[in-house]
Amino acid sequence: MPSNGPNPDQGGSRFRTTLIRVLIVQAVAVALLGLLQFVYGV
Amino acid sequence: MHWINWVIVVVYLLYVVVDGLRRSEGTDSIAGYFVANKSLAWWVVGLSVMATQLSAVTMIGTTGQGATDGLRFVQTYLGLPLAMVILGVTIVPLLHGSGVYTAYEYLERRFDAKTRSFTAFLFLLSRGMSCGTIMAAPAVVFSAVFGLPVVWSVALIGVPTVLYTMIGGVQAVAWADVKQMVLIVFALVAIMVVLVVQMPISPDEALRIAGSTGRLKAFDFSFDLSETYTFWTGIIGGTFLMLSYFGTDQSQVQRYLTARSVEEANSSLLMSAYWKIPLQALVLLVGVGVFVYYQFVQPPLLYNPAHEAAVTAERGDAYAALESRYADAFTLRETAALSVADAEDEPTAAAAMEAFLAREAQIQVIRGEALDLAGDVTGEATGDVNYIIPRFVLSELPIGLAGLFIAGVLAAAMSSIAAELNALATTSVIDFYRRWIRPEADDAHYLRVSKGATAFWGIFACVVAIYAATLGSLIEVVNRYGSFFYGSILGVFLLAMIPRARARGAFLGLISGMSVVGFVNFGTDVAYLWQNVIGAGVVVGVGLLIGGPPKETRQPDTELREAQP
Repeated sequence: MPSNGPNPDQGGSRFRTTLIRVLIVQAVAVALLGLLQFVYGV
Repeated sequence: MHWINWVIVVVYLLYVVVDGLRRSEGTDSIAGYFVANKSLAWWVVGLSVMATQLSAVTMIGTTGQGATDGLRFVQTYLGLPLAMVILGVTIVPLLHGSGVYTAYEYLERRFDAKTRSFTAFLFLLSRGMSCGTIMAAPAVVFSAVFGLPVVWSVALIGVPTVLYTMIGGVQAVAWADVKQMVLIVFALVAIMVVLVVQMPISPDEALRIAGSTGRLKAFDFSFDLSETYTFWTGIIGGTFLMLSYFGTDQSQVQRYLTARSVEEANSSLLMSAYWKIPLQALVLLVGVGVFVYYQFVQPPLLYNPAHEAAVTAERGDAYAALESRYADAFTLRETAALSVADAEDEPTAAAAMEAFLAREAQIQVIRGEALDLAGDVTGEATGDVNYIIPRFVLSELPIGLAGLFIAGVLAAAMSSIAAELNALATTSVIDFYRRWIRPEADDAHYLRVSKGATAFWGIFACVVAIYAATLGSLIEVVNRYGSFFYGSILGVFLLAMIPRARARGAFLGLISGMSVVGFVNFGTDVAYLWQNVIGAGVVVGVGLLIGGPPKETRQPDTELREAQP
């Protein structure tokens, strides 16, 4: 394994935090596109 | 094009080359040339990753797709954020921490030289050809729009790109990407602002017109394996495609190998995770905006000016008759579009929409006849989606902004091509020349060979681009087979992370994965995004089933350290 690889616990915690942040941003982007589709779509 | 626009384009091209030469300081070793001595900040790497992925095809083809097809293409990127996060805890620490120059180099340490060389060869084959095609796409459009010979258009894009990539290495490429990304986003935002300002109706009315044609339908929740753009294809197939692209394609891997640490490499990838979908939506919305704008300003009947000139010269009377019908149909459609915009209640809106769609269909019939005529006269393919935005930019944008947009398209082309050239040279030198031909030469020798390899691939890409039209079927075959590799190569990297996987299983798994994807591609109508899932799954399955003897000899640690940049 690489010498400067992440500690599994730290890596897991950072993964969860990052995942949540990215998912929130994407959810907002997808919601805005969905809103356009819902309001103006046929 | 107005001379001021040309000045902007020329100043931009000169700036990129001069700045590239300036950035060549510190690249007097292969570690500096290939991975910038792992010295770049996360935001530089992040913008470089994004610029690499945003090619000229995105600027002119995807915007055109937005105009004709709407927002649904955005679904392809739904899996990207998740893929970036997964890569951040799997492949990125693995590759960045192991001190490799190429992703394939890692496969020899984990499996064997055969698996490394085969995956590296697949990369050279597919990317060598695709580098020519990503240069050809904007060159052909420039050639038609500006009346330049294709050779000149290719030179306009290729020469500066090869120069700064060859002299400045990855550092010049990454810093050029930063400026190019800023220019690209600025150009897209500027065109959007101009659209909103010049539109004769309000944004709400414009959205109503776009929505009535289905162009605002971003998501399709049907589960149909043969449909390319659906929510599920994007989420599942898209995740595997992005894992393959960002995790195993050297043109992407090399970006984040230049970051100072694993954390900074991860941050750079997350920049794409955060911004890719909004940026892609902006690209498509520009196209949708142009579609609505052209409801009130009559667009050309044929967007490709070269075809328009050829048809006018050879079949002038027939074309004039079509143009006359087109003008009448346009006036009727404009009135219908205004009715959609002005409709105040639901029944009125429904009736107006129906009338508008009928007028729109009439326009498409006339356009179809004109395209057929162009096909008869020129004997060429007549799809003109790639010409919609360039024609709009040159005829409707104010002086200066048009030049900026053209510079933005050049920037997008150059950033993608530079990354490919850099990656092709790195793989050629590290995975073949240093591995099989001259393993013991000094750094200065490898540096000279690397610059030569960059020049070689640059010339190769230019030749492919110039002959793209005649190589059409060959390029199509290579691109089609190229999609076979992605999922399967991802499968090999997934196997590398499973301790019980062995070299024989990985190699045979790779062959099996590609074969199965080949069968799925030619024998079924399963959409291409699913092929990545299938390829990766087959490689992992076969690799684990077959297994094989454990690797007998491990490279000593000193050897690993020696290879570290």
